Amino acid sequence: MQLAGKAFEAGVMVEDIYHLGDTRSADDLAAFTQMAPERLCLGCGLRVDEPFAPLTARERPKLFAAACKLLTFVLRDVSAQTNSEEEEALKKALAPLIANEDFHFVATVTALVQSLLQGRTDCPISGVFGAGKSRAAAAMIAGLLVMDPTLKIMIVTKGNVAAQAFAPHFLRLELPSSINGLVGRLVGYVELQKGPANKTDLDVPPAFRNDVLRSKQVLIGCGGGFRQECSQPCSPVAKWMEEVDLALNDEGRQYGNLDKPLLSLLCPEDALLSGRPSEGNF
Amino acid sequence: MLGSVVIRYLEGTDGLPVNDIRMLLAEGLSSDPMLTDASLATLKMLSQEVVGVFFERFHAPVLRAALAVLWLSLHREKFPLLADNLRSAAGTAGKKRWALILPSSASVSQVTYVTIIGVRYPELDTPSKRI
Repeated sequence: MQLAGKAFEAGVMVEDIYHLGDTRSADDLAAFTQMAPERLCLGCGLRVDEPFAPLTARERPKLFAAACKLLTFVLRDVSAQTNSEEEEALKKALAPLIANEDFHFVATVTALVQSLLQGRTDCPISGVFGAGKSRAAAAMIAGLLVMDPTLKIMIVTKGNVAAQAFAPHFLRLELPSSINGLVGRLVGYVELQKGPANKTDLDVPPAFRNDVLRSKQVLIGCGGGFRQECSQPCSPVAKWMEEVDLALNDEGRQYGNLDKPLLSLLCPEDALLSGRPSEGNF
Repeated sequence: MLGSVVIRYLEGTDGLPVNDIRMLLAEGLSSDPMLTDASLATLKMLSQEVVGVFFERFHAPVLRAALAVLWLSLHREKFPLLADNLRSAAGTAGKKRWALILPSSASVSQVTYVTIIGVRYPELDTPSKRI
């Protein structure tokens, strides 16, 4: 056919999607049919070459300003001037991470600023087990929240275990209650039935969810509960996510779940999605 | 390494201090950690401009890259940084095709490293384990 060396392009129209032998619900599959073109690369792994309006730093002013401020704060380290109790606590909490010679935390914050400068919609952070990805992410999110408490950040983990593991990373930073009070971990019925060892101070039980949600700037959700919440027609969590500035998908590569496409669908177009890369992404 | 991602945006642009910052980052990519006198002067200038202070530990390649990124954020209009198509924005094409890998772990013993990382993540098993 003499296609070697030639660019081959064809338009693709999806008329229907059939699933055979899969237990996915229609709501899960609907995420793909409703995917905005800007999210096709992330959500479906499709290679889309259409041009689009670049995402400048001015279109993400709060996140960009907070990220640059945080990176400056980190590099100044012990000489950083603090203007509030929250910044003083943050300086104390970040000191060991900054001084660590693996520089994992500094690299994570630098990658965030670099992604925003480039107008990227995605910032993959990967690493071996025990490298400190979740810890660096928790410290980075805490730092962003101190720099700008009006930022909205969503954290989606693979399951209740990871959601329960992420919250202690945040609590160990020992930030003031004015910051910790902005963070909530969504817990469902199953999690509530476990013993007190699984509870954290950030838990938001289902009974109080609608009232408490409005006061939170950071939400930690696990895969099953998060999908259930967002599949409901008038989900307050889905409504909350429409204004998200940054979404983190922890352990997103595992188990082939649909969390990342769903996250891509629900977050606004200018939100930055961070997490482990999907297959074939780099 | 992080510096190799940043340096892509300084190539093709000439003039001071871009050339000096490019040289500073290029030296960070080599195996020799020592800075030339000229690069040390550039590092001091850069750190004073973006954070107002200089520390000896800024010699580390990751911190040099961090300073360069902050400098780029202050002069972003002068460089072609932005992704202009969906694949670049997703980080799957062009100069934007990069991701951060944190290569080391205090929790991993040598036996685990050899048996698991050497098999599943051979790209991490390089002589230089710097970010």
